[in-house]
Amino acid sequence: MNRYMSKLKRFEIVILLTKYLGRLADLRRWCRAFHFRSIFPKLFVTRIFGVKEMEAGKNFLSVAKFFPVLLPFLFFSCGSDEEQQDVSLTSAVLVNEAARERWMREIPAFRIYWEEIHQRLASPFPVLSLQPDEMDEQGRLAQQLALQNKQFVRDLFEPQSGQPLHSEVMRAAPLSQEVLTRNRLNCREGSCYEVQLYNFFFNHTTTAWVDVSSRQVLNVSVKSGARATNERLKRLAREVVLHTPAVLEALAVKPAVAKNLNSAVLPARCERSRHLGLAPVFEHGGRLLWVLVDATDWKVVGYKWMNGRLSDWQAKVAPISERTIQTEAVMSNFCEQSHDLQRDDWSMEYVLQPSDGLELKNLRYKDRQVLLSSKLVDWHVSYTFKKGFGYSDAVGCPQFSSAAVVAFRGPKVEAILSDGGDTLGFALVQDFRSPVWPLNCNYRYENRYEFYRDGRFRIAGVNHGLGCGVTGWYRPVFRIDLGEGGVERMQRYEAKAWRTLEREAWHLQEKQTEYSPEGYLYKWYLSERSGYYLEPGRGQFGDGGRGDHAYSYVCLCKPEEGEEDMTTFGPCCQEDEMQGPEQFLQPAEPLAGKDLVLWYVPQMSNDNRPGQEYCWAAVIVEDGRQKDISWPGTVGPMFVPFSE
Amino acid sequence: MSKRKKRSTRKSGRKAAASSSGKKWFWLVAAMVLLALGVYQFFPDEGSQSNRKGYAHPQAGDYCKREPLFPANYGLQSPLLIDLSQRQGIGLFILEARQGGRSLHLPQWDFMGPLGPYALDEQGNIYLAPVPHVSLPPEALRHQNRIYRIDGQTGEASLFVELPAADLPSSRNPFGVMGLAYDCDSQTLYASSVAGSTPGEEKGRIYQIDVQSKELLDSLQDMDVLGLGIFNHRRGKRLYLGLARKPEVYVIELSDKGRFSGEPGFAFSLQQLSGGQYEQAHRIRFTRKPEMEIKAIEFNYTLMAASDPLRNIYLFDYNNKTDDWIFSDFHSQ
Repeated sequence: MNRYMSKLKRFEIVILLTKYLGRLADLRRWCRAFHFRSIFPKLFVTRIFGVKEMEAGKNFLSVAKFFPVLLPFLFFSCGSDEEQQDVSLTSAVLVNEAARERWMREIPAFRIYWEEIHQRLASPFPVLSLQPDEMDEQGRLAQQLALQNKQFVRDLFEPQSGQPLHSEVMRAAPLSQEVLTRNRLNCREGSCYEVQLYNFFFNHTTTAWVDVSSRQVLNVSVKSGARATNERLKRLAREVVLHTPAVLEALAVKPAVAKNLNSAVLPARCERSRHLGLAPVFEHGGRLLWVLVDATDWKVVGYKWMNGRLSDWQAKVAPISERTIQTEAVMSNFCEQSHDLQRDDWSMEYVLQPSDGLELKNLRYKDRQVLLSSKLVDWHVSYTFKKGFGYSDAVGCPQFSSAAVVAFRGPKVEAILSDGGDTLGFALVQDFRSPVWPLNCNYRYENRYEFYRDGRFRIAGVNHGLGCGVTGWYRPVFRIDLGEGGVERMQRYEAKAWRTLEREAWHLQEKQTEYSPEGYLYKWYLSERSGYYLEPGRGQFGDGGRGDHAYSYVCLCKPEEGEEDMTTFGPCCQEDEMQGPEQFLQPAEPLAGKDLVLWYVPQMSNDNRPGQEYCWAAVIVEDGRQKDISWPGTVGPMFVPFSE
Repeated sequence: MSKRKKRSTRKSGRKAAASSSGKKWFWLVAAMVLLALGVYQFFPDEGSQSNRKGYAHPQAGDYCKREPLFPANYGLQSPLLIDLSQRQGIGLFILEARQGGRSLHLPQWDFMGPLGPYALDEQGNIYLAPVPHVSLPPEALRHQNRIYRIDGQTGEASLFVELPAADLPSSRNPFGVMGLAYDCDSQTLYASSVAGSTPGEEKGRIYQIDVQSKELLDSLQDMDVLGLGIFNHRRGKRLYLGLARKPEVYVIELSDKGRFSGEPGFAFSLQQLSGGQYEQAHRIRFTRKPEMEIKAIEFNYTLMAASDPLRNIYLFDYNNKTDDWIFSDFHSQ
């Protein structure tokens, strides 16, 4: 008997060991849950035991024998630095995966849904009805009656082009007693239904109240945003998330395991894109993983781990939205945090500043310091239709800044290719947007730094419109500090020769401006015999740019003159040299033997003429949904190295 | 069994001793309670429950507010609207509330710059606070924690009070005063300020200000609040607070003299209302009906909010039976 008991106890111990060791992949999470930083090696666990064994808790004997070895690791490994960079448990993570083609291949239900949309869009009545299993008999009748109502289906086509729009019935259910009472509706018990139709282009919901007993539509109203989501979309959103590698990695389980996790799909907001949002949530390891899906573009926006239980969130709106996910990810990963980038022969640091855009720092090319700092302080916007009307838009962090146009995500690195497809270099690009660009009086700008393999680099600003109308003038204000803070010299090409600038001064790039035969305007000596030419934009860079027409201000480098993060700088609506930096030229000081800074303020005007759009944006119909397009205007000088 | 009995005997002995000392404690505690009650009677706590009266006629705390008189001198006819939208120009514009009505803006108001919250009192005086609007010149930063007053009789604008702050507004948080509300019963003005708050620290304050003496009478600390609204409930006066960092509205009880009583508590979440969004209660207003109207914005401590054309409005009906609010509607402005 004793022997039997002893065996049973041993068996229980082994079961316990299996239970905990089978979830060793979660140890890192435990460490983080207790605010320890851990390198508790996922690698260690997975390499010795194999992920499969860990997840399924199989082969516990082979796992159990390592327990004495693992125990010290568990306690002593919590606290190293590696986990500091892994913020997925405490901060939102952006995924931005829009793999519609892959999901169509991998998720049969998604393919069927997408094909159905296209079939409906090709039909004279482009409405996707509610699935039969999502409503009762009376609900089906209510849907039928609503869809026969002209007012209910008035937005099925884009008014100007007549293109069909994707509209989908989200709900056909009895009206609640509260609504009946509040609106004094006299319905026979259970005979009044609410039918909701969501329009993916306009991002609005048309609601019909239908009395099925009298077969009458009592009321039709339209409200912005989605008011409900059908079960089919919820199932698809969950499937899409389960086919997103970044999410599976966050869950640290295989798809088969993830499928069986306790989960739900709640309504969420994509308030910036004005799209339909859904938030699948998974309960795992005592926490909730919230994932945001943009169900208009079918994009997994991002995810966030939070404390709590799924049962606490029944019939509620998700605690995440497009804005909160994006803001949190940018604030915790980029804002005022220095990052290093090394590529080709270039190395640099970049920092997203609160109100001065993406600042480039300590740029080096082949071990030589090229630039100390470059930033885009402001965008001055004015309109000729009303004198004095405009804005000084600072760009920067999405929280706690003076920026009006903010970062929705971190910077991207993209290749620069020749027409033949050869790689010429790379670009570091940071996007900034107003909340609901491209709607009226909303703006979108980019900081764009281009680095070429031959040692050239370009500091550019990109304007995607839309602004408050045509006849808009945009003037980005760049602060450029080349070199490494030593003695510098600046020359300007004038009267067919390079002439040294003796004192601080400003200059306007006009039609009659003279350039060197190569097209250079300034020659910036960083040492006795070498430095960089400045080649202003004149429409020659092949990016559709129409020239810089820039004011340039050559100043002494003084920390108090723009080195720190600035609120908005200079007035919005001056058409002359009074753009802000002119105040640093008073009085004009001698430049000889000093460190120099260049303030560069290009000018561009927008254009909405069909076929000639520039600094302009529009919303078009694609697959019955909204698609934002833009015609960017790009300005900024190229820096070309020289050595004498 | 005997062991148990023995223990029981010991227990009863202990009980007797405890009972005697317990009686002493009882009398001591009773005496202290009586003493405390006596002290309380003579020196009542300013914000205590006993010092809060209910209101037979529930209504907005600024029920006495009236229009300024000076616009009539410039030919404007009542009813009037206060326009701070910056659509017509920077600063305050007073409009006739009718189609094609005239508007008034006095050049002497320009020094105040762009303005955000406002409140009216029973004299028609207008209390206003600056707010950065898309652009913010560095010199305007230090003015963000001011409240201005425009005299209801003359239209003359002056600095009413400059509020103390945990820290000065900066490029990282360019905001100061965000909400104003006037209470007719106590003749005091409430102002919320987020000046000095940082991503990691909530350093905002809410002040009660005597409009006659300009004295700061009471304050709440370490709480970032945008919208303010006062309502006289049957069970007492309450100040509603729109949080700056969450889509939530809090409420705190006020004494007859308008002092803060107790701690602010959660009232409701905008996000959890039908159609509600993750946005902050920027303005809280009570109509005569009475109805609570909350105008919400996306607030991130950036100037972005100013360029966002979308404002959502949440409406609540007053429930006379429960003396509370029932969410009734949500729509975009």
